[in-house]
Amino acid sequence: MNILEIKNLKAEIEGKPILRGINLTLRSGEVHAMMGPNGSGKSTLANVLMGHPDYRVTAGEALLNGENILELDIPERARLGLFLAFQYPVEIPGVTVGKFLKRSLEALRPEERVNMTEYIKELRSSMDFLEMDQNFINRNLNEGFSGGEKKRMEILQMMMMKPRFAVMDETDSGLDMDALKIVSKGINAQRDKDFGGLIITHYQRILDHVKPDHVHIMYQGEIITSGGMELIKKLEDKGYNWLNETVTAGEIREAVYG
Amino acid sequence: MKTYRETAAAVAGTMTWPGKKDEEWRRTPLSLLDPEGFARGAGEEDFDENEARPLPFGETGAHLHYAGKKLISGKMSSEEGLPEILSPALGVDRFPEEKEFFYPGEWADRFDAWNDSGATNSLFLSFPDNGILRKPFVLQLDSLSRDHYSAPRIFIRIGRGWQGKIFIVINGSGREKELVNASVRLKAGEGSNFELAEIQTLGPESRLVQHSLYDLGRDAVMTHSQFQIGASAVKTNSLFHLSGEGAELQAGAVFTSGQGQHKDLRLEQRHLAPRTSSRAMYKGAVSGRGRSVFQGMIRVEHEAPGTDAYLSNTNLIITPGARADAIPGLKILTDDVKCSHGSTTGKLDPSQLFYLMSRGISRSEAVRILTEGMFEDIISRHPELPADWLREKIAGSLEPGEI
Repeated sequence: MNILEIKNLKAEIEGKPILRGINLTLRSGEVHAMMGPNGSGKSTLANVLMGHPDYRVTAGEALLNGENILELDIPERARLGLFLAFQYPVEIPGVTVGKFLKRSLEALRPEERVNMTEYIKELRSSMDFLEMDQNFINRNLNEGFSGGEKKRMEILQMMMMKPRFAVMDETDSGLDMDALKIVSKGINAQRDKDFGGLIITHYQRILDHVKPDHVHIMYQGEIITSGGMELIKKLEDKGYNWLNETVTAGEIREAVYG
Repeated sequence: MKTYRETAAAVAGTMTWPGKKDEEWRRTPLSLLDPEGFARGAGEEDFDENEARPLPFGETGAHLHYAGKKLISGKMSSEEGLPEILSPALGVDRFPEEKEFFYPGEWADRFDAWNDSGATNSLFLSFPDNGILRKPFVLQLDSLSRDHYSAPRIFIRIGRGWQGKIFIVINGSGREKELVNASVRLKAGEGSNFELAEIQTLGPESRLVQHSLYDLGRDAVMTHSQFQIGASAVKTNSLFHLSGEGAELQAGAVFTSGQGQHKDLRLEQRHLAPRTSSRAMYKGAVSGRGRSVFQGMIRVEHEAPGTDAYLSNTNLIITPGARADAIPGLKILTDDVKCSHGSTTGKLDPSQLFYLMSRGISRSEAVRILTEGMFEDIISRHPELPADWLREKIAGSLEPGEI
């Protein structure tokens, strides 16, 4: 079993604190959902875990099987088994999907030789599964892709790379109903005892398709409450406004005991 | 009466070397090319032909591999559309109407005159009228000597309606130290349609000066690319003359300047006839303390209404300390034209680097992938080029201390 323990993680961008002490433990076999309003720090958490250079970690650690990944460079984090499905996947002109995936698999598993026949077979069947046109293999990565195609491409990469932990940053945003179902199918296909997922989302609708084991609500850089599916129901009924009450209580607590 | 060669020598003798006062030479000090330091032309005894290596081209119509004047190996298939290989003197005897083009009797500068007076190896390639060459014609010119100059002079006559692909490589062993002063003159006949790719992969101590003139006749269509990868210093001037109505040019370049390399590429798209079109895309990358200079000019003459011309230049600065200058220009002497030009110089996009690195790819590999990606559209214009070999050369030139 693999475990990713995030302990008191604080991070800032350009001197402005965004994460104010995140504590979260992910285990393989589990899928967690991280919800919260815009600006609460959800995407920052995803980027900080992967090592985005714009953010500065000011405290805390993130232990993947005991190793603090925050001290590693970005590719090392990936080689340890962390994957980030990007909210805004970037276009890489002149580099085809097929070539990119192969180079990336070689980089992730330098000790193995990529078997080309196996690789192509697996790539084609994963693309079939995600209902993607095989012609994408020869297209430049994300160049001219629609929003939905980019998100599918992220899930395709996840399926090929088989990470221990995947952080999916608003993978559902901008998807129509059909695309959402396909993407969810891809995520569900990954779920097994060796895979842990963190789905970051603003909306509950993806969670109707990918049922999380745990739900966390983030607000102003903190996880203010955690629970199960009942939290989603509560959000659905009351919207994000009910968080204000919760937070006021938290701030008072901080004022008294901080 | 003086021979052409003697006339060129006499003219060269009266000329001074180009220098800072000449606009085109303002950013490239003559000392980088050091013409006085390479006073003797390379002869057959000045190199070891065992150093010569045929480059990894796939199936070719012909692959002629020279070191200086010496033919190291010559593979010629029985494909139709292959050229007659002549000396320049024989070539203009055969095609007297082209004499003025190949022997204009005037020289752009002292290097140009020196090439004609001191040519170490000359070829006249005549591609037949209406021939169709299915597999590429490869001309590989190796530089293998030390402290000598070589002055290859390549005349190319493309017959009416000829179709095919020509690759010219100026290559070094890596141990050579030559000043290569090259001249290419190409005249394309009516309705011809062809590719010409020129690749320069000289060793890190060599230098290159090249004057090129490509003249496109009526309805001729040329895809031209140059890959300026090797050598410590490069100064090229490529003139494209769209002389016949309806001629079309697609020009591209990849140029790299890694540690200690200096590349100065000039190009002119000169429109001399109605309804001609030209598209140029010149892409460079610099790293280490490398430097590049791009000079581009679209020139539309009075006789060329209906011109459609475009020139773009992109420069990638991979590491701080490297420098790329761009000087694009337009000179339009008639109405009813569509012309535009643009140049951008920038660094690698950090979000692209982050994306690739998040997939386990190291920073240096990510830089390489992005740089290759930028050049890919030029490389892919020529599917028969040995692309992997070329990409290795490109990557090598941008890594400090290696070519």
